[in-house]
Amino acid sequence: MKMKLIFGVVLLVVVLISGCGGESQNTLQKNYKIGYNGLTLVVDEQRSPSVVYQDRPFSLAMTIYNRAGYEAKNVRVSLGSYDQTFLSVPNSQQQFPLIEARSAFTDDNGGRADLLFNGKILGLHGSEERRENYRLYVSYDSKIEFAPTICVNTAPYSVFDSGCSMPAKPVSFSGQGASLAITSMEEIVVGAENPELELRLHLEDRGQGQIKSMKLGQARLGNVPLACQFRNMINNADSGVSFKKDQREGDVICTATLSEKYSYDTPLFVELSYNYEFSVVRQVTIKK
Amino acid sequence: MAANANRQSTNPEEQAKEGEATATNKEASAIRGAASAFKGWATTFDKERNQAQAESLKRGAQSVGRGVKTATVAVGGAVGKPMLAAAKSSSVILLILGAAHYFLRYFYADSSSLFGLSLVLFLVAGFALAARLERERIAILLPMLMFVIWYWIFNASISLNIILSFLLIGGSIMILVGLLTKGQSIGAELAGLIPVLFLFLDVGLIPFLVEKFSLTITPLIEALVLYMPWWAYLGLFTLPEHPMDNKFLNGFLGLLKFAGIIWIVILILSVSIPLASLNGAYGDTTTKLLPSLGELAKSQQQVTKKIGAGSELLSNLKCLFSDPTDLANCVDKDKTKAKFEATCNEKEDVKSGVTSLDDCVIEEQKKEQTALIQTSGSVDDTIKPTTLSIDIPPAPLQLTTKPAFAVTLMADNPRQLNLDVIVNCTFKKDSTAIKGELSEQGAPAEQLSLKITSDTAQIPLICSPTKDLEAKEKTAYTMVVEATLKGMVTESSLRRAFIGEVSKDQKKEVINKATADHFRSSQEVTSRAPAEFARINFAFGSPEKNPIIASGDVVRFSSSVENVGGGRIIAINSYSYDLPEKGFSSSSATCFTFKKITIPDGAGNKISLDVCPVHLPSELDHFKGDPKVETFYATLNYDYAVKKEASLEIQAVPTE
Repeated sequence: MKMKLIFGVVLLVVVLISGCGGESQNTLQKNYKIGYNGLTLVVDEQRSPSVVYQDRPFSLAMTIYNRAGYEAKNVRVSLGSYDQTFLSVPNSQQQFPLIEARSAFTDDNGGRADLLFNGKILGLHGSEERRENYRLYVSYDSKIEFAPTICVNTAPYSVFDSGCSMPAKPVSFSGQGASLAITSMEEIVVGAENPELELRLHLEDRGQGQIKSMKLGQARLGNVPLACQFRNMINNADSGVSFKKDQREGDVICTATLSEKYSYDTPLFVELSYNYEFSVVRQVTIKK
Repeated sequence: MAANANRQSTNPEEQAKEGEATATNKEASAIRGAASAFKGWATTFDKERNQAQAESLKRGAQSVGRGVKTATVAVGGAVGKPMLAAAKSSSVILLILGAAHYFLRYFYADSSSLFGLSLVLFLVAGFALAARLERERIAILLPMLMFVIWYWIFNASISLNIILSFLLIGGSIMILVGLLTKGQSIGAELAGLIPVLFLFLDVGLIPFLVEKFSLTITPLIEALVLYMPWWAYLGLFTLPEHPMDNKFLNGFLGLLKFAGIIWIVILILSVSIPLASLNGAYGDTTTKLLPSLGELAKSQQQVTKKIGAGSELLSNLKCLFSDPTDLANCVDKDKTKAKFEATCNEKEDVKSGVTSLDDCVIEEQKKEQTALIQTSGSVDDTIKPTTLSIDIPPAPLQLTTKPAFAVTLMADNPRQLNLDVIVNCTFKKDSTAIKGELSEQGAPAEQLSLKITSDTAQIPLICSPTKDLEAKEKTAYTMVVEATLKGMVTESSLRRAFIGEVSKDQKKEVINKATADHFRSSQEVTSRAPAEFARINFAFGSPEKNPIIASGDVVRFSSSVENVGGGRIIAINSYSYDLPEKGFSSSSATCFTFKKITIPDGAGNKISLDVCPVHLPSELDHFKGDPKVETFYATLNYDYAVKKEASLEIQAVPTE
């Protein structure tokens, strides 16, 4: 009896362990356009000492990873907000036209770009030691694609027609693989004769920086083009929009007039391009 | 005892004893009657019973003894018949003591010494209020007692546990009393809160709120509230309807009551205390809600001092007649003058008549105007300061008229500057000063010039008078050693961030980030210098204290010299700023240039230098992109003297 019990427990453990068999080896099937990842700066601490001495060279080496599911274009990294009296950096800005997206062809950190800032630590004017803050500013252009398959039912009454059923409540989404994300969508049908489908998309900035500007790209429901408008946003000078002051969310409303009077599943595709900025503060200790 | 009373006695001694016992019995009976009458008073109010109780009390008092009766008559005679009638009411005592308390506080302003009287008034107020109640007067003590226990024993804690337990126990007692008295004690229990309120008003709750919670109260109201004789008013309002026999006195008291009501109505109508601010203000007082009496007294004194010892009311009255068209300005001027007068009245030269009060007031006004435009600075801990000090070790009595004393000059020179120090010494006795001479290793000199270049230096010196000192007997002389540091240089630094041309939307975020990165403390906003002798304070911005400058800001520059050591600035040899080198300019030609300054005798710690508009170089003004941060320097070259005095005893060698 006792042996049977031990055998049973061992068997159960083996089954459980084998059941947790790690991630799928079929990496080509992995969806990288999910979550809220963006660009990340990783400083090479060995080549960027945090304690430096006056009248000695200064160097700051780092790698910028694109952990988003989309390419980052016009990536600009600059070293700023440092006290020019104690630190001199002749070339404080570096640019990369493109950093590739996280995909099956990159590692989990996504595409990368290495960069190095060189400069000089200047005199301390009699101080024994100073702790100086500086900031690394990063800005880039990227996009998101929102492409779920949705159920559309423009019938005037909710009648079961063996098709699909439209969600009665807003549906949540867990990001499209970028800092900017559509986090929920609500489907509304307005009118009976020529019913109009209204898709209310809720946008959020889930990154650590700020959306400077965003624009709508393609927006289609199957083959039907959608007419989209931003709501609760500020219009920028560059014809894009941005979130209101101190807000990190807004809405896009897309509409289409549909002729079908039955329910059906159809792919939705909404593309948004945006410019994003974030900064990281660092400190260097300058010694005599 | 009854058996003893019935027994017949023939012995005269025994008869006397019996008589005495009978008298004692009668007295005891009368006292019991008086006690019973008091008990009746404490529980019910009934006119007829009151009359009977008064009679009973009177009988008791008559029986207690002649001495007491004589004393009562004496007091009655002194106070007079109408007052004697009024004195029955504790309200009169409260009125008189309250007025006395008010005047004592008004004239002596030391609230702490009047705490005892405040507490007495607290009890009297409770008694006076109880006298006005019809039923269950003793219950008035319940909230008063509970408050006292909570305030002093529980230290006014608002800890949830204590409050809950206290409310539970106290509430249960009060409910129990209420039930036992069939709800008749509720009025008395509520009335008990009035003395509590008045205790706080008296000791300065409102000034405390003003000071601690920065509530907005108009100056006039501040003065009205502060100088309200609260206890006296409580006594006045608790008086019976016709307390005096004299109609005129009753009418006068009625007028006083009316004036009191008007006063309180004015207060209620005029006070604009934003109570909402209390919510946040109490946020961090998690353990103690109410101030201690000590805190209240301190607040009261500080606020009283701040508003000029009650001059507000006087100023208002004065200005109402002298300048009714510009009342606010007149009151302001009058208040300022009163403040300076108060300062000047404390000064020795004004007291002794050397300086007139008017001259002193003018001088104080000038000082304040100068102080307003003086720039402040702070200590830069990252730079080790240069120090210079003199040590005179204690010396034994010297039996000579030309003594020699050891002096050590000590210097810390961490920046390894070339320090030029001139040392001299003097012997003083009363108004006589005899020059001394100093020697290090070589020949003595009246002024010894020393050069210090090392990190630290301890230079032993000998100081002796240039001529014999007068000391037939043991005489004390004061030896004064002064070391003057010539051409000392102290550099001050000032950091500023330039954010260039940023959009309105971005501006707030950029400013927040720059502040978080570079200006986290107030010291980082001001210019900083090592903690040594003197420094130049300078600032620029829009206004000067704003460390973040955006494109298009109107920028102003100001500077001052501050003596931060314990010595004297002898001369300011030069000062300069690195702003012109960095492209800054000013429409004032003399803005950044050195101007010879004569340091006046008795100059304060700060001497103002420049206040002028400045223009930024274009690379710091018109640019787009990341903020630029830069540190600016100002250099002060000055002579600075440190002094040390020591009392020394000498005596001439007695000749045979």
